[in-house]
Amino acid sequence: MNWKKALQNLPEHEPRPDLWDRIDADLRADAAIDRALDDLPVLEPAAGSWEQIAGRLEKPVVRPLWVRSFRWAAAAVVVLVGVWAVLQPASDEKVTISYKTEVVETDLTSMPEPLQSLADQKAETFIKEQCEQQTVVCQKPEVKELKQQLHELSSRQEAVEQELLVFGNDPALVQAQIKIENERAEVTKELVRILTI
Amino acid sequence: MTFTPDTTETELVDYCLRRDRPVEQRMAQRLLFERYKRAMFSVAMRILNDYDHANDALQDAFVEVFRHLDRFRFQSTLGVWIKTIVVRQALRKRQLEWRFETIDETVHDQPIEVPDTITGAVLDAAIRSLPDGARAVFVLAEVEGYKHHEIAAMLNISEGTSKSQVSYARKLLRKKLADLL
Repeated sequence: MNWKKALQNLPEHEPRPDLWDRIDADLRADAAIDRALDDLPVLEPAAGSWEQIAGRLEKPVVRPLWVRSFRWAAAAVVVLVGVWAVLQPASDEKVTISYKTEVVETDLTSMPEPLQSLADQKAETFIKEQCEQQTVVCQKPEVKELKQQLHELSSRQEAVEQELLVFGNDPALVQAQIKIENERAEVTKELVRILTI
Repeated sequence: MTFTPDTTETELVDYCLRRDRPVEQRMAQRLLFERYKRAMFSVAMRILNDYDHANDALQDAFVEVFRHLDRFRFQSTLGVWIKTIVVRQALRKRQLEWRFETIDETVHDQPIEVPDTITGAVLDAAIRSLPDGARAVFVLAEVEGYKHHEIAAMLNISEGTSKSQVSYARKLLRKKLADLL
């Protein structure tokens, strides 16, 4: 008998007599488990969950230390580039601009102030002119970032103005408008400060 | 904007992103939380089997949901997207503690009879009594419907381990259910 023939004639073995019962029991148990899976109870979280989430959403996001360190390093580079730029020969003309920020009190009963004051317009014109003349300074990351913030705030301000036209003096809208105005003033002030260094 | 139970998810998501309307934004966030809190807490609780940890995971998850909702692109349902974050937060709670038991092949030497009438509550109790690793994999695969390759990535295990842990969990469940009833 050769090897191949021997393999073909290997004897069959009998499994234990209760094997089918075991398989059947497992299958029925699995079916019962699968049915019960659709009926699992829904569990309730702690009562104060929302208050804790809302409290955390109020807090500003704290960036990791390495991100802040990177920002400081980037700021240091910007300062060095700025010093180098200042030391370059430039015109004798001395530009001065005064800019004042007033934080508007949140009085929801009063009408909103005129949206863009003359000082804001002057400051924005100044920023535009300076960026046309001082292209190096305006390429600084912090100036770019501030200009982007100013752009976003202006868009948000326009959106709120539209909503005020539709919904009237909704207290939440008035409050949002005042907040945006104050943020715009801060950003503009910072831009003017950097551009006049 | 008046929110009602019929307010659609798309509308709620839109308002959750409206930073310029803080009152409506917070109201929409609250409504979204109320809609999903039980389903998501149940997921966290079944994975962690610890009430305080599950509440922490739920809180961390919803803070993450609201901070990053602008990244949701409606490519899946909102519920699936939130669940992914809840699962990740729940798993992170025990990142270093997941242990996968060596499978005991001698579990249930005798045929086990599990009644056809087991309820969800009874099964829930049995699931909670499973070892941590087997429970987490079983819940993710059999209750939440994740695929083995997804579970393997989440728990940093092989697909084979995921499959064998589900099989082990089922074996243990059969025995536990038979003992419970």
